[in-house]
Amino acid sequence: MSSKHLHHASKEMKKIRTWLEKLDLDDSTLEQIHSLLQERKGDVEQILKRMRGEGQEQRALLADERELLQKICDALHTGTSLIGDIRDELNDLIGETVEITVNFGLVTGTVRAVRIDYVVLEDALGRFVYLPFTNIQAVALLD
Amino acid sequence: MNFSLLLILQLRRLIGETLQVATDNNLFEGKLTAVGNGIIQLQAEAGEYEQETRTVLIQLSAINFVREL
Repeated sequence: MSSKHLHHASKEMKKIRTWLEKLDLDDSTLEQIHSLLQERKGDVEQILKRMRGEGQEQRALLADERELLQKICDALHTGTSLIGDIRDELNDLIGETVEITVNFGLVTGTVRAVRIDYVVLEDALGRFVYLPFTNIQAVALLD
Repeated sequence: MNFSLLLILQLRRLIGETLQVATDNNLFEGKLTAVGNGIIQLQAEAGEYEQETRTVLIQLSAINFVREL
Protein backbone atom coordinates (compact mmCIF):
# COMPACT_ATOMS: atom_id res chain seq x y z
CA MET A 1 0.00 0.00 0.00
CA SER A 2 2.76 2.44 0.91
CA SER A 3 4.74 1.72 -2.28
CA LYS A 4 1.59 2.71 -4.15
CA HIS A 5 1.60 5.93 -2.19
CA LEU A 6 5.22 6.52 -3.06
CA HIS A 7 4.52 5.92 -6.72
CA HIS A 8 1.59 8.30 -6.60
CA ALA A 9 3.64 10.97 -4.87
CA SER A 10 6.45 10.80 -7.40
CA LYS A 11 3.92 11.02 -10.24
CA GLU A 12 2.51 14.17 -8.67
CA MET A 13 6.02 15.55 -8.41
CA LYS A 14 6.63 14.96 -12.09
CA LYS A 15 3.34 16.68 -12.98
CA ILE A 16 4.29 19.72 -10.91
CA ARG A 17 7.67 19.80 -12.56
CA THR A 18 6.18 19.81 -16.09
CA TRP A 19 3.73 22.57 -15.11
CA LEU A 20 6.58 24.63 -13.84
CA GLU A 21 8.46 24.06 -17.06
CA LYS A 22 5.45 25.29 -19.04
CA LEU A 23 5.48 28.54 -17.06
CA ASP A 24 8.05 30.89 -18.50
CA LEU A 25 10.29 31.14 -15.45
CA ASP A 26 13.97 31.87 -15.56
CA ASP A 27 16.43 29.06 -15.03
CA SER A 28 17.54 29.98 -11.52
CA THR A 29 13.98 30.11 -10.16
CA LEU A 30 13.21 26.83 -11.84
CA GLU A 31 16.30 25.29 -10.33
CA GLN A 32 15.34 26.55 -6.88
CA ILE A 33 11.84 25.08 -7.15
CA HIS A 34 13.28 21.87 -8.52
CA SER A 35 15.70 21.44 -5.66
CA LEU A 36 12.95 22.33 -3.17
CA LEU A 37 10.79 19.59 -4.60
CA GLN A 38 13.70 17.18 -4.43
CA GLU A 39 14.06 17.98 -0.73
CA ARG A 40 10.33 17.62 -0.20
CA LYS A 41 10.42 14.29 -1.99
CA GLY A 42 12.78 12.97 0.63
CA ASP A 43 10.45 14.22 3.36
CA VAL A 44 7.44 12.62 1.75
CA GLU A 45 9.26 9.32 1.45
CA GLN A 46 10.24 9.47 5.08
CA ILE A 47 6.70 10.25 6.17
CA LEU A 48 5.41 7.37 4.09
CA LYS A 49 8.04 5.03 5.50
CA ARG A 50 7.09 6.04 9.03
CA MET A 51 3.44 5.42 8.22
CA ARG A 52 4.32 1.99 6.89
CA GLY A 53 6.30 1.23 10.05
CA GLU A 54 3.39 2.26 12.24
CA GLY A 55 1.08 0.11 10.19
CA GLN A 56 3.30 -2.91 10.74
CA GLU A 57 3.47 -2.21 14.47
CA GLN A 58 -0.29 -2.01 14.69
CA ARG A 59 -0.64 -5.22 12.74
CA ALA A 60 1.75 -6.99 15.13
CA LEU A 61 -0.22 -5.62 18.09
CA LEU A 62 -3.47 -6.87 16.63
CA ALA A 63 -1.93 -10.29 15.99
CA ASP A 64 -0.87 -10.48 19.65
CA GLU A 65 -4.34 -9.53 20.80
CA ARG A 66 -5.89 -12.10 18.52
CA GLU A 67 -3.59 -14.80 19.91
CA LEU A 68 -4.54 -13.84 23.47
CA LEU A 69 -8.24 -13.93 22.67
CA GLN A 70 -7.79 -17.30 21.03
CA LYS A 71 -6.17 -18.65 24.19
CA ILE A 72 -9.03 -17.33 26.33
CA CYS A 73 -11.55 -18.91 23.96
CA ASP A 74 -9.70 -22.23 24.09
CA ALA A 75 -9.65 -22.14 27.90
CA LEU A 76 -13.39 -21.45 27.93
CA HIS A 77 -14.06 -24.29 25.51
CA THR A 78 -11.93 -26.88 27.30
CA GLY A 79 -13.42 -25.77 30.63
CA THR A 80 -10.09 -25.49 32.39
CA SER A 81 -11.30 -24.34 35.78
CA LEU A 82 -9.29 -21.69 37.50
CA ILE A 83 -8.66 -23.17 40.96
CA GLY A 84 -7.44 -20.71 43.54
CA ASP A 85 -4.90 -21.49 46.22
CA ILE A 86 -5.57 -23.67 49.29
CA ARG A 87 -6.69 -20.62 51.24
CA ASP A 88 -9.38 -19.72 48.70
CA GLU A 89 -10.56 -23.31 48.57
CA LEU A 90 -10.81 -23.61 52.36
CA ASN A 91 -12.64 -20.29 52.48
CA ASP A 92 -15.32 -21.86 50.28
CA LEU A 93 -15.53 -24.78 52.72
CA ILE A 94 -16.38 -22.81 55.85
CA GLY A 95 -19.03 -24.76 57.76
CA GLU A 96 -18.18 -28.02 55.96
CA THR A 97 -16.59 -31.09 57.54
CA VAL A 98 -13.20 -31.83 56.08
CA GLU A 99 -10.32 -34.20 56.56
CA ILE A 100 -6.95 -32.47 56.31
CA THR A 101 -3.80 -34.48 55.73
CA VAL A 102 -0.57 -33.27 57.26
CA ASN A 103 2.72 -35.13 57.67
CA PHE A 104 1.73 -36.19 61.19
CA GLY A 105 -1.55 -37.69 60.03
CA LEU A 106 -5.18 -36.81 59.52
CA VAL A 107 -7.17 -34.09 61.21
CA THR A 108 -10.93 -34.13 60.88
CA GLY A 109 -13.24 -31.27 61.76
CA THR A 110 -15.54 -28.52 60.63
CA VAL A 111 -13.92 -25.52 58.99
CA ARG A 112 -14.60 -22.58 61.30
CA ALA A 113 -12.30 -19.81 60.02
CA VAL A 114 -9.63 -19.09 57.45
CA ARG A 115 -7.00 -16.52 58.29
CA ILE A 116 -3.84 -15.25 56.55
CA ASP A 117 -1.61 -18.26 57.24
CA TYR A 118 -3.79 -20.84 58.95
CA VAL A 119 -7.17 -22.52 59.04
CA VAL A 120 -9.24 -23.26 62.14
CA LEU A 121 -11.14 -26.53 62.45
CA GLU A 122 -13.48 -27.57 65.22
CA ASP A 123 -13.14 -31.27 65.98
CA ALA A 124 -15.82 -33.71 67.13
CA LEU A 125 -15.18 -32.81 70.79
CA GLY A 126 -15.59 -29.09 70.11
CA ARG A 127 -11.86 -28.36 70.40
CA PHE A 128 -10.27 -25.87 68.06
CA VAL A 129 -7.46 -27.12 65.86
CA TYR A 130 -5.16 -24.64 64.12
CA LEU A 131 -3.39 -25.75 60.93
CA PRO A 132 -0.83 -23.59 59.14
CA PHE A 133 -1.26 -23.75 55.33
CA THR A 134 2.43 -24.42 54.76
CA ASN A 135 2.18 -27.96 56.12
CA ILE A 136 -1.17 -28.95 54.66
CA GLN A 137 -0.82 -31.77 52.13
CA ALA A 138 -4.42 -32.48 51.24
CA VAL A 139 -7.97 -31.47 52.03
CA ALA A 140 -10.82 -33.94 51.57
CA LEU A 141 -14.43 -32.90 51.80
CA LEU A 142 -16.53 -35.23 53.98
CA ASP A 143 -20.28 -35.23 53.82
CA MET B 1 -15.49 -16.76 66.84
CA ASN B 2 -12.65 -14.34 66.97
CA PHE B 3 -9.33 -15.61 65.64
CA SER B 4 -6.20 -13.56 64.99
CA LEU B 5 -5.04 -12.88 61.44
CA LEU B 6 -1.79 -14.79 61.86
CA LEU B 7 -1.15 -18.10 63.60
CA ILE B 8 1.65 -16.64 65.68
CA LEU B 9 -0.72 -13.96 67.03
CA GLN B 10 -3.42 -16.52 67.75
CA LEU B 11 -0.89 -18.64 69.65
CA ARG B 12 0.12 -15.59 71.64
CA ARG B 13 -3.50 -15.39 72.81
CA LEU B 14 -3.36 -19.02 73.88
CA ILE B 15 -0.44 -18.60 76.30
CA GLY B 16 -1.26 -20.45 79.52
CA GLU B 17 -3.56 -22.93 77.79
CA THR B 18 -2.89 -26.63 77.50
CA LEU B 19 -2.25 -27.57 73.91
CA GLN B 20 -1.40 -30.50 71.74
CA VAL B 21 1.21 -29.58 69.12
CA ALA B 22 1.99 -31.94 66.26
CA THR B 23 5.10 -31.79 64.13
CA ASP B 24 5.94 -34.18 61.27
CA ASN B 25 6.66 -37.09 63.60
CA ASN B 26 6.07 -35.92 67.14
CA LEU B 27 3.15 -34.97 69.31
CA PHE B 28 3.75 -32.66 72.25
CA GLU B 29 1.23 -31.96 74.93
CA GLY B 30 1.58 -29.29 77.56
CA LYS B 31 1.09 -25.77 78.67
CA LEU B 32 2.05 -23.01 76.24
CA THR B 33 4.43 -20.80 78.18
CA ALA B 34 5.88 -18.43 75.59
CA VAL B 35 5.60 -17.37 71.95
CA GLY B 36 8.66 -15.87 70.29
CA ASN B 37 9.67 -14.93 66.79
CA GLY B 38 8.74 -18.00 64.77
CA ILE B 39 9.04 -20.24 67.80
CA ILE B 40 6.82 -21.43 70.65
CA GLN B 41 7.69 -22.80 74.08
CA LEU B 42 5.78 -25.62 75.69
CA GLN B 43 6.01 -27.01 79.21
CA ALA B 44 5.47 -30.58 78.14
CA GLU B 45 4.86 -33.64 80.24
CA ALA B 46 8.00 -35.73 80.23
CA GLY B 47 6.51 -39.14 80.92
CA GLU B 48 3.15 -40.64 81.50
CA TYR B 49 3.65 -41.51 85.16
CA GLU B 50 6.06 -38.81 86.23
CA GLN B 51 5.15 -35.38 87.44
CA GLU B 52 8.25 -34.08 85.70
CA THR B 53 7.90 -31.60 82.89
CA ARG B 54 10.40 -30.39 80.33
CA THR B 55 10.63 -27.31 78.20
CA VAL B 56 10.16 -27.89 74.50
CA LEU B 57 10.81 -25.29 71.82
CA ILE B 58 8.99 -25.80 68.56
CA GLN B 59 9.57 -23.97 65.30
CA LEU B 60 6.38 -22.45 63.95
CA SER B 61 7.34 -23.68 60.48
CA ALA B 62 7.47 -27.27 61.77
CA ILE B 63 3.98 -27.24 63.27
CA ASN B 64 1.50 -29.55 61.55
CA PHE B 65 -1.35 -28.53 63.81
CA VAL B 66 -2.17 -27.11 67.24
CA ARG B 67 -5.13 -28.46 69.13
CA GLU B 68 -6.70 -26.78 72.13
CA LEU B 69 -7.29 -29.23 74.96
